[in-house]
Order: sequence, then C-alpha cells, then structure tokens
Amino acid sequence: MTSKKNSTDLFWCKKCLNNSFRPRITFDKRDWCNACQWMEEKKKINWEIRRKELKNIIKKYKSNNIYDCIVPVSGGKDGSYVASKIRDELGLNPLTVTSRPPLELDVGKKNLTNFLKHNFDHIHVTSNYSAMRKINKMGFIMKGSPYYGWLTSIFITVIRVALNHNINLVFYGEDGEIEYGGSTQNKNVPIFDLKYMVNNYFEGDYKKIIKDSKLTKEELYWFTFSQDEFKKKNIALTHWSYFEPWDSYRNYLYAKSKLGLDEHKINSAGTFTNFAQNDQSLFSLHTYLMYLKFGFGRATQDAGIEIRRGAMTREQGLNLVRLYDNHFPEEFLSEYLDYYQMNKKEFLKVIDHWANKDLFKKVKGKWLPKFKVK
Amino acid sequence: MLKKRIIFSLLYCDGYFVQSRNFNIQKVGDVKWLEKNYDFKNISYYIDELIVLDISPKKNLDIFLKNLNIILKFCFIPISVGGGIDSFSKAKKILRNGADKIVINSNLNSKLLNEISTTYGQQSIIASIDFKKKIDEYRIFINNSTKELKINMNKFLKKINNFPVGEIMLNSIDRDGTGNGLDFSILEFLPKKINKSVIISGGCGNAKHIFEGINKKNIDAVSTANLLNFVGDGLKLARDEILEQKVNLPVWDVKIINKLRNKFK
Amino acid sequence: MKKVAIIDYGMGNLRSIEKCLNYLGIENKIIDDPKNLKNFTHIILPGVGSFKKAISNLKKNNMYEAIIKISRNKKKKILGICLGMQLLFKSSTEDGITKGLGIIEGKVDKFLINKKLFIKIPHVGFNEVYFEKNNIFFEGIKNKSDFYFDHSYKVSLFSNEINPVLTEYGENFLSAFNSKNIFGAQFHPEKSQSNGLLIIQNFIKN
Repeated sequence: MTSKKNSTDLFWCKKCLNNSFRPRITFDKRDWCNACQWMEEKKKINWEIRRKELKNIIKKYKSNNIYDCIVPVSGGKDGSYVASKIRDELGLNPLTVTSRPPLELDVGKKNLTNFLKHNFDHIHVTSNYSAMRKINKMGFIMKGSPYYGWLTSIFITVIRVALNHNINLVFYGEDGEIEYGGSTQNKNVPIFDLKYMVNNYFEGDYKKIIKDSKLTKEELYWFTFSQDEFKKKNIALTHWSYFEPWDSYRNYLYAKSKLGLDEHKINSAGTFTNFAQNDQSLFSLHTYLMYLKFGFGRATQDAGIEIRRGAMTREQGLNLVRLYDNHFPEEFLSEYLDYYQMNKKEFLKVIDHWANKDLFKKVKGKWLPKFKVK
Repeated sequence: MLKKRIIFSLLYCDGYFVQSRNFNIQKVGDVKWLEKNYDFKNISYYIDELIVLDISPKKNLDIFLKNLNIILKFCFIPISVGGGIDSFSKAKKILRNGADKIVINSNLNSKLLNEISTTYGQQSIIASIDFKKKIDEYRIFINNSTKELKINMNKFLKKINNFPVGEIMLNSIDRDGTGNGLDFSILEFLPKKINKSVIISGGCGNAKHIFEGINKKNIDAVSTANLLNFVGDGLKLARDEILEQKVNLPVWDVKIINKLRNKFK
Repeated sequence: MKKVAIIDYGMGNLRSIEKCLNYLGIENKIIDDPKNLKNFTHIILPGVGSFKKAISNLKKNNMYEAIIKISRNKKKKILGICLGMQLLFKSSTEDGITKGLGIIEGKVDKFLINKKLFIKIPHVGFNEVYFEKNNIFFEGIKNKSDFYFDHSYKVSLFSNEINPVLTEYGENFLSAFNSKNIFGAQFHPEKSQSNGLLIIQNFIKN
C-alpha cells in the first residue's frame, strides 16, 4: 500500500529524477537516491571476486542434467543478453523460459522469435487464460497492479520448470530494487533461496487474493505452489547483475546487433525510448498507475537510466520527464476494457481510486499533477 | 580567429522528425511538435548552424521544403540541407528554397560535384560520410547505412579531400543516438594536410560530449542529431555550459534579435 | 519609404535575405528584371558561387548595366553580400580573369595557401571583424564581433577610402566596406544572428 506521505514530503534525487515517494527509496546526505549511490559503488566493487563467486556457485548448483541453469526471458534485451552471456561466454547450457503475458505486442513476439533463432532451447508456458485474467483483474482493482497474476506466474513458472527438469540454478537479469532505487538489502547477496522468495512475495495479500479468486487447484497450477512441493529441493536464485555491472543500454546494443532485437517505430507509451518492455501492453497501464500512486512514470525511470550511464544530464532528463511522464494509455484502452471485461466507467473508477489525491487533481476528466518536478 | 561551430541536425522522415539510434529510427513528432518543444525562434540562437536531412525512403521534395520553411522562419544562421541529392536540379531547387549549403552522402561522385560546384561554388557542398566498424576496420556506408562501399577509408578520404567540396562530415553509425560520446579514432584516417573543414557527429548525448569534440584541434564543428536529449532548453543549457569552458564559439546577443523585430514598421 | 530590391540573377540564397528584411519589417521584393528596379531605395546584390557565371548571368538580362547606373545615383544604396560584394570590384582571378562591375577599386583573388601558415579552403565558419571607430555600417556592433563566412576568394588591393573592415584568415582580407552609397559584406549578415541583423539595419537606416 502507499505509505502515508504528505505532499510536502515530496522531493527529488539531486542526481537522477527518482522521487521520495518511491517505495523503499533512501537518500544520502547529498540527496542522491540509493540507485545513484549504487551506480557509484558499482565502479568500486571488485568484480573479479564476484566472478570467482560465480564460478563456485555454478560448480555447486550445476546439475548432471542436460541444462545447467534456467534463464527467464521475454524476448527483450535483458533476458536475451543474459542467456547469451551464460551460453557464449561461460559455456553453460541454459534453458530459457517464458511465461506468456496477456495482451502480447507484435514487436515483442517478433523479438522472442528472433532470439530463439539463435539456437536457445526454450519452454513457453501459457497458463489458464481465465485464471490469469481473474487474478490480473483482482490485482488491478484491489492493488492497482494490472498484471498481478502474470507477475507471479513468471516466478512460479520458472520454479516449476526447474523442479520438473531437475535444474537447481536460475539466473535472473537485474535486481530491480537495487538498480532502480528500491530496497538495497540484497546488494551483497549473490543467491537467495525459495523460502526467502515465498516469504517475501507470496504471503499476506497474495494468499488472500488467491483464496478469494475461488479458482481450483488445477487452474492455479502456475500461480501457486505449496511449501512441500519444493521442501527437498535446493534451488538457487540469482541475478546476473550481481556478477557483472548491469547496463541495460549495453544489453540493448548487444541484443540489437547479435540477437535480432527490433524496436517500436515510435516511442513506447509514457516514455521517450522505444527499445524496452515491448512484450505486452499492460506494462503501460502498470506504469501509468505507478505515476498516479507515486508521482513518477516510465519516462522518469528511463531518464534515470540515461542519466546514470552518462548519456544525459539531469536537466536534459527533466525536459523529457515533463514531456512524457503523464501518459494515460489511451491507445490500449479498448484492449484493456475488452480483456478485463469492464466498461469505461468501471475502469476509470479503479484508476481514480488509485490516484494519490495528495499529488494529483482531476481537471476536465484528466489527472494532473499538483507538483512540478524539480 | 575562426571559431568552432555547434551544429544541430534534424532528421526528417515522411512528415515526422525522428530520433535515430544506430540508424534505426523512432518517430518523435511532426513540425508542430517541433515548434512546440524546440521553439526554433529561440534555439537557433544557441546553435551556430542547422542541418536538415530528409531520410524518407520515398522522397517528396516539395513537401519537405514546405516543412523546412516553417521551421526556418526565424533562423538567422547557415542552413544545410541534404537527403537523396543526386542531380543538379535537386541541388538547385534546394539552394533556391532556404538552404545555404547542400549535404551529399550517397552520391559523392566527381561528375555531380563538378556540376554543382561550377555554378554554386565548392563552399556550398558538405560531403557527408557514414562509417561503421566491421571487425577491426572502418567501413563506409551509403543509402542510410544499407550499402557498404568497397573502397577503404584512407583512399576514400583522400579522394574526397580533392573533390570540389567545402566541408567533410564524419558520422559514426556505431555511436549514433547512443549518448556514448563521439568516436575520435576516425580522425586518424584523414589525410595529414586535409584542406577541408571537418565536422564530426554521432554519439553526442550531452554538453560534455560536444565540448570534447569542439576542444579537438583538428575538428572544426560538432553536430548532434539527438532530438530527445536536447529537447526543451537543452541546447541553450549545453551552449552555456560549453561557453564556461572558455572555448572559441561565436557569441550572440539574444536580446538584440528580439529588439530588432519589426524595427522598421 | 524604404524599399529594398533583392536582385535575382540565379545565384544566391534570396529567401534568407528576404526573411531578414521581413523580420525587420522592411518592404522588399525579389527582382529579376532591371526594368522593375525604379522605385526601390535600396538594392541588395546577393551571391554564392562562380564569379564568372555571376557576371555572365547579370549580363544576360541587362542587370549588369542597370546596377552600374544605379551605383552612380547617390540617392540609391547598394549592398553586395559575399560573391555579391566581390562583383562590385574591378576583376577576379577565379577561372582566368573576369571583369567585375568595376564600381569599386580592387581585385578578387584566392586565399594563398602558405606553407608556414596552413589554412583550409574555403574559409567557412564564424570569424571576427576589425573596424575603425565611427564606422556607420557597424554602428551598435562591438569590434571583433563574429560573422559567418563561406568563401574561397577574397578582395585585395583596396583603398583605405572605403572604410575597410578586416578579418584575419592566414592574412588580413576585406570582410566589409562602405563607400558613399555602396556597401559590401564578404560575410553573410543574413546568417550571422544578432550581428547580421544589425548590419542590415544599418544599411537601411542610413
């Protein structure tokens, strides 16, 4: 839930444009957020040592199986980059896994196809359509999280495939919390186990929604699992960003030149870039809700990435945030209504509920910020 | 003393202005968007020259020139225009409709260059070269980076240096739109006694990148086509930042330009 | 009432000059027929390209004689820009020797490429001008101000009577002048931002 912050508590990182309402964000004496502090730390870390850790982890968790590890992918730049590095640089044999999202975009589908043409083995899981839709809708209404079900299915799909194929090692891309201004508690943790994940993400709210959904055990196969199912297994979950300084623009250039990645012909909704998060259209609703809840949108996140990698200054990013941040995903509205089986009035009522009234006011049917990004 | 120049390049494609990343384009906005977010009445005071390139796959010169003249209404700086110039008549039309110089990229042959320079002078032509690194070699590409030339970089630059052109523009396809800074290694391939002005482009994301280019002895001008990074007051802030470094850029007084409007009415 | 005729003889960026004049609020028209030059108080002779071709074009429709005639009328003023300024002089060594309009004493020749002081040709970019105090053409403009140049040929052997303004590029050359009713700018005032607009203002004012 959004924390009880007053709009007077709203301020911005002096280095990038992250704001103080972002959940789990912290600032240092210079008013630099933790993402920017991490950017500095990355330059000082001894990556050699971390590479050695990687070798040990691989040794420990590599199975006698045909596949050494799992890499979750979507067809986008990050998963594709990681899978390629693991196979082509480390010489391992990864099994790539995708949990099919709802409302897929053509660019995304094409990217996945092109990626797979580079000889990566792949398992594509499509969970029960109505079950996912139900949980997504409940997430949308009750948590302002429009693809709540899909998010969990990504995680559980990976675990079930790992269990079924006796694979004990999973490489995610980046730890978004550490890279973009969230919790830094795992900065120095190379692997975390299932128990930790389940305790952090599948208790409380999630359990309640699953219960209230009244879906059957069969329908929930890709959305839940019980502790006994993995009790005896020791699956290590890790992030590639722990072993190599994460640079999503580098991943983009790599995927574009080596793995057939293509981009949108115009900017993606709510931002100035066209080369990220192109697999499904609900992301635009997710970032719009994020904007209404916390006062920062997709353009702010992308500007932060550009600022931290040295491609632009804060002032330049500010101009882009002012131009692109507040974007109601009008272009996908009919798709959303059709998917959720809602009419426009109901849909907008949910949006209105999640708008932070301390930060926004409704003017002629549009939510406008009361604040000015500084 | 001859000053260095900061050039802004606009890429036009089928009625839109675009952001290019390694020559893959993203539509950003039409001329109305440009007027709103770039305010050419004022940004032309923060740059020294404007280049406008038509990179549409199928070109319509009349519509392009129409769009061009909307943007140029209040620009009192040199304007260079290019995009598919392959004949004297196209060059003539462009030079009579707003452009001071033309940019030629895919048709750098002596026949065309002689024809144009005989009437308009070599100083009205900028030879633009797009290059990309392939394995360890710099290769030249034309036709929006789709066709690779067989000739090697050294030979080509020597050839261009002897052509009737006024300036040479070196544009890195690898750095284009990345915001990773300019590629200066290409300068090693220029003939020692190069007698044309050198413009470098490809990779400028911020003022620091532009400054690095301006500060190099053998570079006369730096161009950026990064439409997104310099939106709003981006070009003004960049120029102010660079001027603080005590570089040789021309100095303008914006207030005078505003005062002179309709002075004689 | 000040009225400017911009001479169209097939060479020169007429639109840029027209744009400047419109911005300043000065009535102007592009004229390609000398018969229509009668009612204008000011003439602007632009020019970009070959001296030889320019003279040949001017002669084609009797513009050549018309300009010489106007230059003798002290009530009319002429401004030559870039090649247009060079045409006002006696001759040019571009493509052999070509006779110019001969209104002002002086010759046009190419920048010398000197082994000691290597310079690039053409001279393109913004460079500084130096002038004596009380130069009416440069009223309101600071000495050493920047203007846009783009040329390979320049005027030499000129007299000090024409209030010469100099620019350094390998050597000192004539970047502007004004002599009675004849004005000249080797640089492009229509491409020189604030400084350029002041030059045009000063030409019209006097």
